[in-house]
Amino acid sequence: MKTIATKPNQVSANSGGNPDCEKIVSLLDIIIDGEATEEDRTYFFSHVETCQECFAAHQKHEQLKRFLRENIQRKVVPTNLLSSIQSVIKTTA
Amino acid sequence: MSDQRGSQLTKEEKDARFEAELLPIIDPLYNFAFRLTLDEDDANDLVQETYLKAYRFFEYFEQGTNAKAWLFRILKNSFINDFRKKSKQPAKVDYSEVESYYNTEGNDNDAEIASTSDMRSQSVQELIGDEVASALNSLPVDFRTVIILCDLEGFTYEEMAKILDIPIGTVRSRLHRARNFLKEKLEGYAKTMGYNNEEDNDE
Ligand SMILES: [Zn+2]
Repeated sequence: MKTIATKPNQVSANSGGNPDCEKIVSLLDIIIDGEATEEDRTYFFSHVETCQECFAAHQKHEQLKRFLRENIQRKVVPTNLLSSIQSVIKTTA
Repeated sequence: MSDQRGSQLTKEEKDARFEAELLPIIDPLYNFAFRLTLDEDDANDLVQETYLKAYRFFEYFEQGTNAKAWLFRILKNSFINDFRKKSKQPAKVDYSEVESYYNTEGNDNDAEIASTSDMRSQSVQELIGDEVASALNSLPVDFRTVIILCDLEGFTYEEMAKILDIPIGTVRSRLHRARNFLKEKLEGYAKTMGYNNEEDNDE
């Protein structure tokens, strides 16, 4: 975990201006969505191992994804929708 | 109109293929339509329209390719062109009652929390669902869409880029912003529901 000293920081969400941490935050989505390259993953997980803040940010991001999947209730398709589509199709040339 | 492409198929063959390959996707398609329109009747109409268009242009669908992505793309375009203008505003629901319930009752001490989670069956589950849905619905539609496609329907970035006609980089940045927005919205609420365990790690 190297701390690279001051870059005039704009305050960014949880990075404290550390460019490594900023890069980690930008990788969060491709990591939790399974879209990261092997290289990205290696970089990401070796940083997260030692950086508490990025570890927490990763947890949170992942939890949100799971939370949405588990709690958004799916709608039941109205019973007559399928049959009405089928009958329109039948009469369409 | 009497283009000869794809006319190798008789109507029976075409209908059979259409039924086998496209109709099974009605469930995710209807859910997508509902999450976009936030209205059951509109969702119903949108799905009908989508299938009708898909039928008319079925010759352009290459067999064996991603039927789900193809239909989602048609639906999303129909939504933008025909529905978006006239679609009703999402009903404003007041969730402050729910929030204050958890803030006052749930946080007091462990006993309170324990008894809360005993009742964490049906009704509480429904409250969570409502709360999460309302947070999702409050997102601008472009951001809501990427969350639905990615987290609820499991599309890849590449598929999303095709469905939405945007570059993969835009998919990625929209997802990031949408998630940050949702985290903010759900944070205070979620703390009491055990979604956010950060406090436990503080020492
Ligand atoms: Zn870090």
